[in-house]
Amino acid sequence: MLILSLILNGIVLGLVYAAVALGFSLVLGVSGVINFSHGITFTFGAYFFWVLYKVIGYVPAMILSPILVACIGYLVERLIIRRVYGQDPLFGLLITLGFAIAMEELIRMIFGPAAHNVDPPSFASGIIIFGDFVYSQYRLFIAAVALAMIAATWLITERSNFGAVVKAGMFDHEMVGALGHNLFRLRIYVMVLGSFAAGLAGILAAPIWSVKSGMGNAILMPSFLIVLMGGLGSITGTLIGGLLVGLCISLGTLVAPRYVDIMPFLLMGVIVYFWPRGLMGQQNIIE
Amino acid sequence: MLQTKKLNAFYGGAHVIFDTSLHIRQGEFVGLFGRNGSGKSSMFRAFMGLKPPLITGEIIFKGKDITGLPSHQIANQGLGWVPEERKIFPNLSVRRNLLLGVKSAGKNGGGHKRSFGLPEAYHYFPKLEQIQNRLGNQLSGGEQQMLTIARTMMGNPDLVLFDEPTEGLAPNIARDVLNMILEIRKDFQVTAVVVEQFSQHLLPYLDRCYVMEHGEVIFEGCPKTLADDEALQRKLLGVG
Repeated sequence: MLILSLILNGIVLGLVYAAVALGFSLVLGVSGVINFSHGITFTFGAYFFWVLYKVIGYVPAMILSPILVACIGYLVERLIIRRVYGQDPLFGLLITLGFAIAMEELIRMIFGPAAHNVDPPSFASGIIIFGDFVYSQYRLFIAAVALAMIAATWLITERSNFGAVVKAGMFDHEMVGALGHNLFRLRIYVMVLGSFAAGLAGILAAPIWSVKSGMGNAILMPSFLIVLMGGLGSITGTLIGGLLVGLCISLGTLVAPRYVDIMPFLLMGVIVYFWPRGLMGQQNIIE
Repeated sequence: MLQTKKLNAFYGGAHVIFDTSLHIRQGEFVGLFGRNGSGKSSMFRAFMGLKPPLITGEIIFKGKDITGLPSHQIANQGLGWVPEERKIFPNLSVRRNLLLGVKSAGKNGGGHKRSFGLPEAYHYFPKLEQIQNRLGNQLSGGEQQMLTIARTMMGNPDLVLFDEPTEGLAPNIARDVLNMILEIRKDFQVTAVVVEQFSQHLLPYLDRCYVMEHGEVIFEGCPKTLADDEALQRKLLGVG
């Protein structure tokens, strides 16, 4: 039963990672920017929610908070990321990392260093019992929402014209523009969508991880590894990568708890050694 | 329809086009010939607003100054580009590649008697219909070139820039592609400029041609003059 519980925890964690990593991957693909401020949008989502849910209730806060995070994503694209388009990816990485560190400090100054607890919503709190097996209802709720987010992203990218432009933009910004599609607008839309998804994931994680200023760091590096493992812009690859990292971390706590932090990196090393473009990727990050 | 005035282009410190002025009239079919590195493709990139190169001078399209505009705005004014590298999106199907050529409503180039859509793409290039669900990275060179031409035509441009459309194709495929360009041009009354190193096959169909060397226009005139100038032809073919 312990192993089953760990596997389920790993799957839930992996789905949250994948939902966040998708935004990271799409922004990287379309903009060519390694957006290390993606983790802080996850933190913003949790904090907005923590502030709002006591005032306006769980569901309204769950809707409003990601919208606010999406607005921040819009501003980040307009004021920061836009300046590094077409430049060495290192510039984008450094400028967004700097912004993320500054925002993390700002959050700590405003809300203090302590972690804040968020209760799960009443409709998803409690446990589910299957015979001898007991599992958290909230974790299943997270899995359902994360899966819905991934499915929505898949529908957008695979079944809409906008998605086709996004996928094309990952391979050739120049040609997308030369066909009459506004790349500047496309990059804003992708950034806003990615920030919305990260903000929503931050809300989902809040009752389990608690709300703290450094929580974005815990999601950023796994997201980066997942993109490397799954392949840039591949939704299936990101899902597989997310599940692999989630299971690796969850089962790693049983096998070698002292080394659990390093395990996803080892896994990434092995995968990238055999599949340099990731499991499902058609290009790697530096191509 | 398209005019450049004292156009200069630079890649970093390298000056690749020098004070070039040329003009394309509506309905014309113009050849732009020159050896590799003569500045032909850079000229097309400059027309499309692609960077590099950085440019100075003026580019006038349909009476409007398009110098420095982003490429999507230039494309939406009716300028189409068939790039030398084909630039097929490998992660999209043939059909979705084609549909990407369709611009937003009301933004297509105007003035066409007929509109070029998916049925027309499949009519002129029946092979594309057979492989419409195949991904871009699974196509042969000839199929990629057909797709690139059809995709550009899906935007119903007023003027199409064909950059070495037969580059790297087997002779029979290259002939087919050229014939298809000629047919589409005639049927859709599209003004066109074709860049080639040199093409004897094209000359009878051209209204005018330019020859470039080292970033400058060294010949402008009727194709017959070029057809009769064996010394210049040898130079273009790299044997002179």
